[in-house]
Amino acid sequence: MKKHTLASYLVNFVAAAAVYILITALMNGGVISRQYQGVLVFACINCILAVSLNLTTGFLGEIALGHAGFMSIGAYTGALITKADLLPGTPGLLLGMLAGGLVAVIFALFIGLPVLRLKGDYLAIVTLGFGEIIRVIVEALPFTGGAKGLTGIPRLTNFTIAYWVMVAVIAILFAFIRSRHGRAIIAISQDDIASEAAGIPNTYYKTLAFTIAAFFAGVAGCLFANYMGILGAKTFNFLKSIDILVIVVLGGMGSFTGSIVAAFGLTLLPELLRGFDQYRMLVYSIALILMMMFRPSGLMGGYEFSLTRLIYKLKPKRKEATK
Amino acid sequence: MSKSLLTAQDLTVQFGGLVAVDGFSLDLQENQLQGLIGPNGAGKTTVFNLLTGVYKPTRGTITLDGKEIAGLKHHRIVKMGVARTFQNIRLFKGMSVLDNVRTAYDHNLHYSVASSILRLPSYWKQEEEATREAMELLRVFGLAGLATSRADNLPYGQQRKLEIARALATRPRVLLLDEPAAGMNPTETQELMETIRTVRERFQISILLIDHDMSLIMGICEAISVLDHGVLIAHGTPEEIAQNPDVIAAYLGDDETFTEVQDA
Repeated sequence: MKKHTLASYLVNFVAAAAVYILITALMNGGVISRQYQGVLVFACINCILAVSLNLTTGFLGEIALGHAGFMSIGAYTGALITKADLLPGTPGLLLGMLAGGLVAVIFALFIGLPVLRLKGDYLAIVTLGFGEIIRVIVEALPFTGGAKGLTGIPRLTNFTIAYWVMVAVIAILFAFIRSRHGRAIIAISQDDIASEAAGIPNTYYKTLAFTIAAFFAGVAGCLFANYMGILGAKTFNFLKSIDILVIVVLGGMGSFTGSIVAAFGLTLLPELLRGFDQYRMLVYSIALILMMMFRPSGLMGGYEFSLTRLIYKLKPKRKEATK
Repeated sequence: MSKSLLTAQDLTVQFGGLVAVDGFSLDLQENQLQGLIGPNGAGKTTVFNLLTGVYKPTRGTITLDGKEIAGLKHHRIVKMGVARTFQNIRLFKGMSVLDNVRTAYDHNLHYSVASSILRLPSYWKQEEEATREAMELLRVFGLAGLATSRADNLPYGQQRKLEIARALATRPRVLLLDEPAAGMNPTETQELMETIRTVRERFQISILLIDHDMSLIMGICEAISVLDHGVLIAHGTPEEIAQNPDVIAAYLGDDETFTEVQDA
């Protein structure tokens, strides 16, 4: 059992490394233009945002409309810390991500603890307001650059960092959801009365899922800030939250695989449609509508792709041997 | 002889102007099987909800092994040893049969978020233990072969069994069964009777049982409480209950109540 899981970790790591090597090779070979390199970084950031939101909205089943708010908190915290230049280069960025995530967690606890005691869609309403409040506060504060924006943030994020942070976040969330904590969270989404009857402290687990999601939104925000170099509070408006939610819903609530696929698809699609210019948003919208019509539960539903499972399926004889 | 495990005194709950349960008392002894019966709407399930902390009593005390538990949260009471099933089955439908049971081990597993993310040895050890125990439980209920199927794909009778298995996974000292025989045919009820008996012997627990199936209640309970309009109207052995005039009146109505209804 243990040997088998170790092997599957190795397989997944090798696969992630292979994808990385392939993309960097294409970048160095000039097949992927500089413009698309940027798009790929955004895709990685969106992917982190989507998988983390999926924890709240997909697995826990609580709709949250303020993910961009947590991203904003992480972005400004991370930006100010990297600007202060406490540590040089990548370690400084890692410190910024950690700080950004932690500050987002503080805010998540602040709104999660009272709201998640309630049943129903209160979280959606509160997070909706929260996202807007954060935006207004950021515009009003002096040290965030106000409405003019924050400039001069060191541009420390590149594709390598964004990619590996994304891989780490996905790995962490997969491990998390496949543990007693993950089981409890899924159980709450299935039946919150039965979960209490099974001895699960609902409020604790709901808050746990919500804060972990906020932490990674903060991390993504810091990556974003250090890629852009400048920050404006308007970037993290309500529409950004909805963008992330669309990725989660389209990919499939309760499927990390779906979120990953949808994050890359929906980030790359508008770029690929640049040739169509003015029809681009139209095609994008139609793609969304078609999805909702033909796959209402999202691309993957609740299904997770497993590389190890695929390998076993392709090699049925080997399976007996490894047992 | 045997001592009281779960007791309730003067248990009352009021919803607005409606007194749903009025002055209910209970004395469930160790390893005892008690029944709780009453006409529809008598407040039986409300009693369960009070005992498990879903509702907070307006008045009265509930003790488990001498400790006051009234007013504690549902999951805290479950942790202390009172598990229950529901009248309308409440399973985690989209989860596997095994995961339904493993979920209920949560408060007996102690590995942290960090060890689940980093897959530390404590994760492996405790998960392995929980899986082994869950499989053992499923074997008791003859569900081991279905461990990987989705809970909502099970036939009705097996869903009932799975719910009992899940309740037992919390390692209770008292098990509250809310109409376990509802919707079952006589053969299935017979089988259920056997299961309940085995469960009590094997796990050494006390059981409080609500049901409308008199053959089940009379067949296995050592004591029966009868509830009508939120008030405890009788308590005794099955033989005493079967002959109690108040009980018969509550179920069939008597002349007095009939005229009262007519007057109103």
